[in-house]
Amino acid sequence: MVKNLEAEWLELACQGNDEAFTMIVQTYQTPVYNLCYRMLGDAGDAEDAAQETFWRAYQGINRYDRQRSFITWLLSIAAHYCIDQHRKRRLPTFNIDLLTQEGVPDGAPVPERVVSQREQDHLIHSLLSDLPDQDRAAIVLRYWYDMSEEEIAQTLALTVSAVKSRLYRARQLLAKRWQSSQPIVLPEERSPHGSPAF
Amino acid sequence: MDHQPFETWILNQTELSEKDKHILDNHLQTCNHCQKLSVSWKSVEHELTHTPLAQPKPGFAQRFIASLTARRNLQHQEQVLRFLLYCSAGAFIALGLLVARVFADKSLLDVVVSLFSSLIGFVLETLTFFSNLFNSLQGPLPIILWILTTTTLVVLTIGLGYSLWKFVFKGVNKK
Repeated sequence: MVKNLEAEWLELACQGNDEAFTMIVQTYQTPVYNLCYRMLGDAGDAEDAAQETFWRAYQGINRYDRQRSFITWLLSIAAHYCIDQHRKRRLPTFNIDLLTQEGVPDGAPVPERVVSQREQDHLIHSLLSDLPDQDRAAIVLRYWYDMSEEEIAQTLALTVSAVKSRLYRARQLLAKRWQSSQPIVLPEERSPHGSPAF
Repeated sequence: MDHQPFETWILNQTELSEKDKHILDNHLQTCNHCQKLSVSWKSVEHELTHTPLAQPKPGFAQRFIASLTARRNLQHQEQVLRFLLYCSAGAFIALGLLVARVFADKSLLDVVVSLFSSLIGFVLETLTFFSNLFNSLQGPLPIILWILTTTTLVVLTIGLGYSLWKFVFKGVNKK
């Protein structure tokens, strides 16, 4: 049903129907915004990037290949745009101070859930901030969109083996970053010949 | 110490055989480096898989629709500028070629006199043609013809003006 509606909106949007395109924007705003947010690390920049993504999609909707998934096509536009933005700016991309202030006005009571969510956001951003652009995009597509390596390759215009190596390198970097930010205490130091402490 | 293939097994999400799992478990019990890597990666993976999708502020689609109008206007302005630029460049090149061609064997004064005389000759010839035409016709026909000619010219002028106005202010819809 949803797929049929989506196909109908796409058909109408291709004919220049703005209302149909608005329905598409409403349907896909969250996944597109989330990718931009995880890539850029700032709510304002993510909003601009998501708006730009939909504008580019609006302009190029007649070039959309119906054989591909529409969301993959949209995310591909968003990912490439965010990567380009990073290349153009060459500036520190994550403003951790801003992140911690976002969302809650000064002096307002901060519910525990909001604090916990902000801490999680902070942690995720500080982890992702060290990754190269394409590695970060690969990680976001893998873990937030549950994309296969083939789908990531299609979205980022890379080969499957390049995606595999990027994901591996990114996981290694993330694990190292985690170790340095949150020192791990192992249950017991073991010698190669000692008995396991279980 | 060589930590391969254990690092690859920890970080790549491929299913390990029972035998490889056993080898990895044994290695993790004796190697702090790989154990730390495994614990760290599992923690990171937990964070990545448990962080919800970030939501845009309410009214995202409405903001998009509002920006659509502004973006279209900007695109139309760019179209007009590009059109004017191309026209100017074309006219400039044509003029340059004409000047080069004419000045090859004539002086500037000759060219100006020749242009003016051609223009005046064309206007006089046209007026003479219409005067002869009206004189040769009988009864109310010259007046009807005059009205028809004038109306056609007015309609064409309005049409051209409207097209230019639409192009400048509304642009060309690419769809």
